[in-house]
Amino acid sequence: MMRIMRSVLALLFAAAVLYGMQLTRPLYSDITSPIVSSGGMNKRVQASAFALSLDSARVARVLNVETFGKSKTYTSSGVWVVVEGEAEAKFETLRLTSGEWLSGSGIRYVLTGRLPATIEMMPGDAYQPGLPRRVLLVFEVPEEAVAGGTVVVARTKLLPLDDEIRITTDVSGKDIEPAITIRRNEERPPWTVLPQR
Amino acid sequence: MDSSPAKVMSTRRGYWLSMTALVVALPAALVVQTWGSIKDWRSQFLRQPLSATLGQPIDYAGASWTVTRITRLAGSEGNAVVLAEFEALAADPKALGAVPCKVRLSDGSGREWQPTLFADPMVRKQYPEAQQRSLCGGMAFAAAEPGKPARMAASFSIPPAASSLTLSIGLYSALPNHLSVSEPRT
Repeated sequence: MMRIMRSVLALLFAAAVLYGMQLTRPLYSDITSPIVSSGGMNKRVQASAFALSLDSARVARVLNVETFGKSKTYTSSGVWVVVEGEAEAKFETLRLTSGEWLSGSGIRYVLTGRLPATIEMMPGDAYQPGLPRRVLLVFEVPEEAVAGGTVVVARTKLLPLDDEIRITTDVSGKDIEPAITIRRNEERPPWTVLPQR
Repeated sequence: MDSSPAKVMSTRRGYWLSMTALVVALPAALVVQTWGSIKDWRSQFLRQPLSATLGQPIDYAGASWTVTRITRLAGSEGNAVVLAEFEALAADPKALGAVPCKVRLSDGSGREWQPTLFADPMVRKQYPEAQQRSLCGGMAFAAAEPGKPARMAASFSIPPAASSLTLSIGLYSALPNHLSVSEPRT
């Protein structure tokens, strides 16, 4: 009798342990999620493979792009967020192919694909160790996604457990400019955001 | 049911033999299953350098390689530009041309730079003939005349303070071995 009771108890214990493990099992996406380094504006945020700092985040209703003497106006049903900063690889040449705007409510917006390739945004450059380089990120987002937005930068979205830097911007959503112009330069940095502040 | 001591001993031996076999077989199955990945990882991250000096031919990956020049220039944006020129005399250039090739420059602190495809105007201006050369790989070997070496070049953008530079050339068919040539000390 005691032997049967012992077996039943062992079985119940095993079932309880298994149920507990099932309840607390992390999702695959949690196990392989990026390793996040966070910071604020005007601070150099370090990840293991690269460092990033953002010094300007501006919001406008209209975006003008000037390249090779030609100007084109981009309107939007939302607003344009233009972010500038500096990125540097730490140990080996790399590319930063993923840039996202994470709204306060958790919705992610990727970099706009509407700008011409002559305006070199962050993913178009190679970042060399020891040579910091200016970066430009432009997002087209709904107006309500601006306040408390965070810029999320990674080498790629595809590598599990890779670095990700998150920088919380200082845009409130109230200081929206009527228009911003991005002008292509022939020298470094390869663009200027106007009007200058 | 036969419960003679001999039968019980035999069953027990069988049980422990199976358990022992499991301890060996499971890790062995894992290693066999992941052997391809282990080999890939080894070729990507483990390196066995074949050291040579500037101008000294060395046999590597089915060709005789010579790094002819490593030149450091002042770049146009406060950086330094390193131009590396090298050549390879291969018995079968076509076969070698089909193998991907990796060229890197590293410094004493372990930082590593990839070629910049002659992006810096200083290289284009001062060494226009180097710009005509292909980076290591297929194009260079396709352009080589029979019996003559394939001439290649790579330029790197690095911080001016970087020191103890080493050029490494790796052909995927010969990894983890790679050719390693240090910048001459001036």
